Amino acid sequence: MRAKVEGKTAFWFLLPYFFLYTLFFLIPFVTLIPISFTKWNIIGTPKFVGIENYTKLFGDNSFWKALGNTVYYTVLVTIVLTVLGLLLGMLLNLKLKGRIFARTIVLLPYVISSAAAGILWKWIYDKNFGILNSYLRMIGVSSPPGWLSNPKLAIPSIVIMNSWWSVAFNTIVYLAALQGIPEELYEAAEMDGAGSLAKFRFITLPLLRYTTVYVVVLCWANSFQVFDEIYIMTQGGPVESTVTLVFKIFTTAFNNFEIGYASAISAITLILILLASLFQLKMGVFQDEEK
Amino acid sequence: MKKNKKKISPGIVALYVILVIVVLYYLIPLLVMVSTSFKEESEALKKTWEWIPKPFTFENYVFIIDRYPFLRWTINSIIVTVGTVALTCFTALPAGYAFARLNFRGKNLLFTMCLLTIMIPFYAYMPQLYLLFYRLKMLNTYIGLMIPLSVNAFAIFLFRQFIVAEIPRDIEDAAKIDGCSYWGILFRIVLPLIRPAMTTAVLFTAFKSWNYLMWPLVATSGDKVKTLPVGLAVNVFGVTTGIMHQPPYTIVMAGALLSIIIPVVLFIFLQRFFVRGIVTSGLKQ
Repeated sequence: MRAKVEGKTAFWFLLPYFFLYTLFFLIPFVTLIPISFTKWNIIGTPKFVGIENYTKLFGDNSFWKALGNTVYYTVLVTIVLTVLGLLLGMLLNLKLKGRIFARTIVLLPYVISSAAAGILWKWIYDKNFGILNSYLRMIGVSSPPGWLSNPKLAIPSIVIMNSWWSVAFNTIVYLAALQGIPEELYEAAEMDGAGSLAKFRFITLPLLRYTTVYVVVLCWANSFQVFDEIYIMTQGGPVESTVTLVFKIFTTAFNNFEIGYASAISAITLILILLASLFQLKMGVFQDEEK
Repeated sequence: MKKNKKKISPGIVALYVILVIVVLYYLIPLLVMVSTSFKEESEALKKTWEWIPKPFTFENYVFIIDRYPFLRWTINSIIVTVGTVALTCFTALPAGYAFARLNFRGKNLLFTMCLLTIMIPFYAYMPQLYLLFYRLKMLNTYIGLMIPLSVNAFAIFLFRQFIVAEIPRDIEDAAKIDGCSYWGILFRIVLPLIRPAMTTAVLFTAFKSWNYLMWPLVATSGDKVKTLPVGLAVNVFGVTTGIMHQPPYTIVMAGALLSIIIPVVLFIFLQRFFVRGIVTSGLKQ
């Protein structure tokens, strides 16, 4: 009797969510693969073309370029945001005066929209009138580079923008983890004559292993999907140097209206990102078992 | 080492210097935005940087509000944000409770299916979702902008964890003995107790929705339902039309600044909840 009531209640409790879920998540998601085998420009009906989209993909230089850009960006930004997040977490964990104010300022950019943050940095990076190059000229750099208009500098510049805009998440996670390390451990180490560096190397770092795996996996997965910054700041340019996979999916689907081809890129990207995340989790857990 | 804390060591000085540099790094871009937004165009086009606008002008703000449907976009953003939050909480609270407390067939499977929405990136189903909304004639509607974020099961996950870990079963059992229905339990007992998790869910959904760019970009074409980030990016910044059609950065910065006032003020007042939310749930947009 009781089980029956619970089952019935569960049905009604889950109904609103699963209605939305089925219609607006499950159906679009499971049609990804079938649609990737079709040619479809939204208006007409989809035409089955077999693996044509996938063969086209492998011969498409701009796909490989986008994949290369995405991996390059993701590796760079993951390293920068993880290391910087740890350093900022450690700094804000010290009992310095003004650290509450400092924490507010460091976290503030995180709540700013990608549109506002992106355009702000586009202005900062402006070749002729931006603040960055103005100061560079002042200290004697005669012709400072166009940060976003130079194909070699564009991706690193977007990484730097992210060190401002999205490091807060990692900082907070590290800060919380650091606050969870018992003070006694450090005191004991001090009595044994350990210096700051030794304490960091033998207490802080090992205890932050789980946190670091967590931060790296999330950072990787998020960065692999980079779109907003690219859309606002560079539109994939200069000369495709910042076209990333998701940006390519977006333009393929919504500028060229090649839904079938866009779905094929989506499918490959999805597989790559799931594999990468799995690999990182394995690595993290594996390292832990070794200990 | 321990007793002479009163003395100022070079190490401490160095740490304060680093702290100041860090604060400046995170503060300066915001000051650039503020400063530029009060400048005249000719002053922004100088090769040396001036912090204090001379002359100081409000023209850029007037221009943004006069020339663009800025207020319309703001109202749209508010509607979409409030709606997304409401829809998320309305669907996630009963579902979270069901996963936490009720026994039914297929529970684990359904819960795993929910978690898929967190793991599967949005782009993997966005083109198909666009087609679906197109067929359902739901492009350019408020509800069409609210649904994709509400489908994310993050709030369900959060509520389930909170109910399992923090709400004692005894209270619910006592209520059941008194003849309280499950709906009664949900609204009279769980709802008041779940406040911390609810705060996190509301805050994160609200920020995400307010700042959301990708979906509103494709799902809106007219100004009628266009949200702030899209209006700014497409109409004001002209990001797709290239530098030729972009208004001067003075106007662009005024628009950007106006758009971030609400989230920034909210963040300053609610920082505590915000930080706790990240720590307990671990979520990035």
